[in-house]
Amino acid sequence: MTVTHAPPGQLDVGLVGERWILIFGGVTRQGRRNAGRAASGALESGLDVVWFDGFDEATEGVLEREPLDGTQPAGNLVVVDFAEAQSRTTSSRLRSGGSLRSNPVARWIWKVLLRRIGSALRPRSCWLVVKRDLRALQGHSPPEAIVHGDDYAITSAWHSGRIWRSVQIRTGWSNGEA
Amino acid sequence: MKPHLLYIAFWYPPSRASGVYRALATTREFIAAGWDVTVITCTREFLEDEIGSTDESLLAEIPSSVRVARVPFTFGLAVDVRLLSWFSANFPTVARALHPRTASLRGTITAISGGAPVSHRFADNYVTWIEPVVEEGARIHSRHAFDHILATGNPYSSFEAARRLSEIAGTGFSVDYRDPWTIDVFTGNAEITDRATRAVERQIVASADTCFHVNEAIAGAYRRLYPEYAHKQQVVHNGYDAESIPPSPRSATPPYKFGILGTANDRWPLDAIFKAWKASMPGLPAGSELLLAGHLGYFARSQDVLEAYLPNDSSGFRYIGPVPKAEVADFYDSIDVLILPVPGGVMVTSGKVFEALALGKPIVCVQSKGGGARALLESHPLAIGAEPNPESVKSAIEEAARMARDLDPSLSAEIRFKNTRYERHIAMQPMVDAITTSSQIGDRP
Repeated sequence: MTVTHAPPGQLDVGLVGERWILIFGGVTRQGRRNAGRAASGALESGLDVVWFDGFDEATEGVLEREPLDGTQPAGNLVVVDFAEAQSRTTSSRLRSGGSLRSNPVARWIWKVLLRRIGSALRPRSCWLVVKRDLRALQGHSPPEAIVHGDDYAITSAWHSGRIWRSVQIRTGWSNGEA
Repeated sequence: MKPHLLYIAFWYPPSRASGVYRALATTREFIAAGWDVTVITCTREFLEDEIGSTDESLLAEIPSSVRVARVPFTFGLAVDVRLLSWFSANFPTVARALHPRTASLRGTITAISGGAPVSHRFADNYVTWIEPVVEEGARIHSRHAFDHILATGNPYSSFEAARRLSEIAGTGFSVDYRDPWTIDVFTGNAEITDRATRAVERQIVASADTCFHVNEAIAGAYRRLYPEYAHKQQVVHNGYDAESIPPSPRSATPPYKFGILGTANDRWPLDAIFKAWKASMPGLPAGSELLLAGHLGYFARSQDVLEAYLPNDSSGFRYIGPVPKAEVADFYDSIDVLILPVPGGVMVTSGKVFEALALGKPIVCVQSKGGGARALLESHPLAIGAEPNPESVKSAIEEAARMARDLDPSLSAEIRFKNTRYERHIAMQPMVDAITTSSQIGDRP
């Protein structure tokens, strides 16, 4: 198995084989975990994985576990780390507040309004960051599945579903209210 | 004339949610105690289209005299992402947040135009179920008056529906907390801190006749949270169904079968168990197996993800899939050691622990020290507590194999006899007694 990291917009389609799955991990820890599980399973089944990871922490050790029989997964993993690129978007700036947080009035406006707008725009902003790479993959063979890890990845999965209309879209592991 | 119980149970067959077994037992016990029971639950369409999983065999477990009213509910966001509208797909967090709020707005308009008052401005994904349940409950009450209303949560919107209906019907109501609502079941800290939700819970606890809890830790937490209503907090253990326990267990013979039964979820310490199993294999009799039985996750979409997570067959592991309720006893009879994966701490007991107690077989309970399930198993002579790490589970597996080898049948029989006190029929009785008393049914001519 080879693991390749790429910034958004620089995905090398040549690293992706004929049989692959597309994973949008979203921007949350839960999304990262869900995506990691989906990636582990796909890699062990011999599929290549293209994983858009927007969670803002190092990507080391994201695969949930090592195979019990000690074998290496057969597929290749291409991780597009878009957290940094996403942090430069308007939605992210609204969410973080930046210098607004130093002034009490501005902080209040940020807290009740701007932060919420930033969060609301975030799924779409993730899509805008990753869509260039998706266009590059459009000429490739269709993925075997599209997986989204959290709510912030829904937009990217939905738009990808419009590119590959017959490909199954599924969620990663989800919190059940059972 | 028989007393009439309205039971609000969102999860009821053909749902296969973990709360269904307690809900079924509740209806069975009230029927056995001479009550008429009407259940309000969600629709099959919701279970099939949005949850994506049902267990049709559970429908046969509903007592024939129970009347079931199915009240529609939807999350508003379809499971299939392709079915989302442009707005929901591009602003999913907004769409999800707006869904209950627009329902609340609809409720306000209803109230202004003379309809039912709005009482559900609190955090719960199921608040939009309250109004239809209240409407349906009022309709049923007008034809066959209730003597008591009992609601089980989650979802906790059921509690508010019960409170509202009790005002309309002029009857008492009780709530059955299968988990704590505003307290984190895993840490014991405040889980929900928003004022509206806490106020609604306080109002429900203040108005309810009794609040039932599945273990002492949760009941204790609620006594501390609402000291003025401490007397209302009562424990009704989950218990086990007698038909799930093999009538006469066979003796363990090598190679041993270790078994896990239940709906696997991402909080189970499965990774530690699988690693421990791999490490234990060389020390166990050749041909020993680890069997995992049950659904993989609650939602249909969870299955693929968890399946990829399981070890392969060559490691002595076998996933045997879901086991119908009628075959649970056969599964237990086929294994020599039960492995019980339980997440969380003191408030988490797991329904399966009561079956484990009654089996009379060695048990490896994988839960952090101080956990609720481990506390229940503390005095069980064949139970071994293991921390959720591979080393601890490995040594517990090895010890359990020794226990299985040396197991004295008389000790097994003694354990089985002693733990019949957790048989569901006995365990649920305090709930029936408390509601019968508070409804003053015994005083009827």
